[in-house]
Amino acid sequence: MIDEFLEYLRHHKNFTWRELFDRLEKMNMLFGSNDYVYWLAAPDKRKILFISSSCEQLYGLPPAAFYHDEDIWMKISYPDDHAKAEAKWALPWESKVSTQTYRIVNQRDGSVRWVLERMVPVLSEAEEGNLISGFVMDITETKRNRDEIRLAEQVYASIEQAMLVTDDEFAVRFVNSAFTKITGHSTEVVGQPLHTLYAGYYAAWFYEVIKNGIVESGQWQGRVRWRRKNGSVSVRRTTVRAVHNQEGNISFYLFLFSGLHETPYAEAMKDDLKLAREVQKRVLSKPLSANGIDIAGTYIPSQELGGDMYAWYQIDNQRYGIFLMDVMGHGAAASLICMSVRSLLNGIIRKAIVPQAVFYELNRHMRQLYHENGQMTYYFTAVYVLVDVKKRMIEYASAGHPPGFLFQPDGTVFELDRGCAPIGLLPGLFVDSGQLRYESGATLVLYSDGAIEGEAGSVRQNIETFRDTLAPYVSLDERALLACLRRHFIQKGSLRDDFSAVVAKLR
Amino acid sequence: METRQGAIRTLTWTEDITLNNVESFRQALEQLLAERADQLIVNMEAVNYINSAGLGMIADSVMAARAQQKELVVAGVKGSLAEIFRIVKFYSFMKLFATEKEAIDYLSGE
Repeated sequence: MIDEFLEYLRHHKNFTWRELFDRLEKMNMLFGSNDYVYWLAAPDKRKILFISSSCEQLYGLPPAAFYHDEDIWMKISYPDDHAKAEAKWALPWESKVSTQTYRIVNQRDGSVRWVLERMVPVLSEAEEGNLISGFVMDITETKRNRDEIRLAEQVYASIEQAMLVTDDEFAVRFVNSAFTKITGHSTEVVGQPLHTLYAGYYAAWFYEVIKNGIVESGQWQGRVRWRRKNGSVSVRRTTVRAVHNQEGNISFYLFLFSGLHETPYAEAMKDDLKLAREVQKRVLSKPLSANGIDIAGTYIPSQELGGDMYAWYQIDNQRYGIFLMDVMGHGAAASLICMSVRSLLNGIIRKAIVPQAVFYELNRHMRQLYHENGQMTYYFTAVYVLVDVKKRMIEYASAGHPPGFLFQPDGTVFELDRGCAPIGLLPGLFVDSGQLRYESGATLVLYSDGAIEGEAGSVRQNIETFRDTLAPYVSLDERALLACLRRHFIQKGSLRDDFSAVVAKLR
Repeated sequence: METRQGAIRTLTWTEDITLNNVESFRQALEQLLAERADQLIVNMEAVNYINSAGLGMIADSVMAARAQQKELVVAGVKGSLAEIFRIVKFYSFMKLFATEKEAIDYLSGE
């Protein structure tokens, strides 16, 4: 083939640059890689004499498009780079120096690519004028990777959790500023074996334990004694995760350390709170299925201990008392008040039975227990519904609580909005209870204000939105309806407040 | 901000009452109650939200005022704030007004 080419050169004295380079390209002697574009141009005529066929991949245009349009560089350049495209024709040829520019080029599909273009003056004594040649390299992927690395560096630097990265041999490769803050170690530990940061005796099998933990459950967690730069010991809960390369092999280990202020005491408190939340959940009434009524409830706690509670009791063979409350505020205090009310509730409901008397009695207890020096310390909102399954009647009162709903089988909805001020707030209560008759197949829904908080609208709009959310599901049984509600709220993300709801199907 | 009009003292609260400022709100109410005036207004016209602790403080202040033979009313109760007061049924034990003028007219006996 080379012989043929040489023969061609001997016989065709007047071949053009394009013919020459086309032949060279076909012989694979010119930039075989598609990542590069080679071109040759006569700047004084603003004419491209040759461009490699790889231009189609980079610019989305065939070589022919470059030969017949002297504004082509301008057209394919990103608007901000038009000046650079124009400057290309003005390369100071006499200086014999090469230049390079970074540019953004448009593709036909509307996307853009980042390119690095190098241009050199052609050293020639030909009479046809000065020529320049250049090659263009697609650096889009490199640029993106660099941007991602820069972003990752920023994230690592600003994140509050201390972290350390080792390579697959457990040599330190990176520490972030939070790690430096808690240990004093900075970039001087990069390159050191990880165990130089251990406090006390180090056993080689520790690395094996980490590796096995990662293989078995995707990560390893445990308490590790780390040595600070000043020699003191810091025991931290440490989580280790592996970072795999494209081939699936481990290339890095990421060590994440527990919070800055965490102490054994704080850890113990956390466990206690978890236990308290569990206890709080256990005192909630279990689903009840009886003649004429089915009742179930659900409770989704927020991040901290809360003051939501619900309960129901069979009073006699035809009446049931359903109660839901929400203590003002959050935290351990609200939770303890909740539990103290829970301990009284059974006796009060069985004795007082009707809403007015139940709320009077609860208010008296709250004022006795939590009202000091004439000042209110705590109060709660509540809704209490007395259901008579024989008469198909409910009697209810809402003590400052968002209105419950009674969905009738024909689609009408009643709001349970009569009642009184919250319990514990005032020395005396005036309770305005309401009575409603229901048809067989009606659904009663009580809920805490966690259901209507966190939305953008007003309180009234949020109540109506919640009612409309429930409406399509009221034909479901009580557990299926609650499951739908749980899904709805869990999908919304972390709750600012506890959410609890009680559903009673009235037959 | 506190203003005086005859025997009436007004506390004008201009921000939503949340965990961040509820303690300042309590102190402002205490100052209002300590005034010599018998008729007190809390103007909440610029308030859209009040948390449960803030509601408790208002109820407590109303009761404390009564114990001192005074009357405390809330003005500027409109929109979202009115809905909150309606749900907690504060209208059952205290006076709520949409504007400060209505509150002044009520306290002046007009």
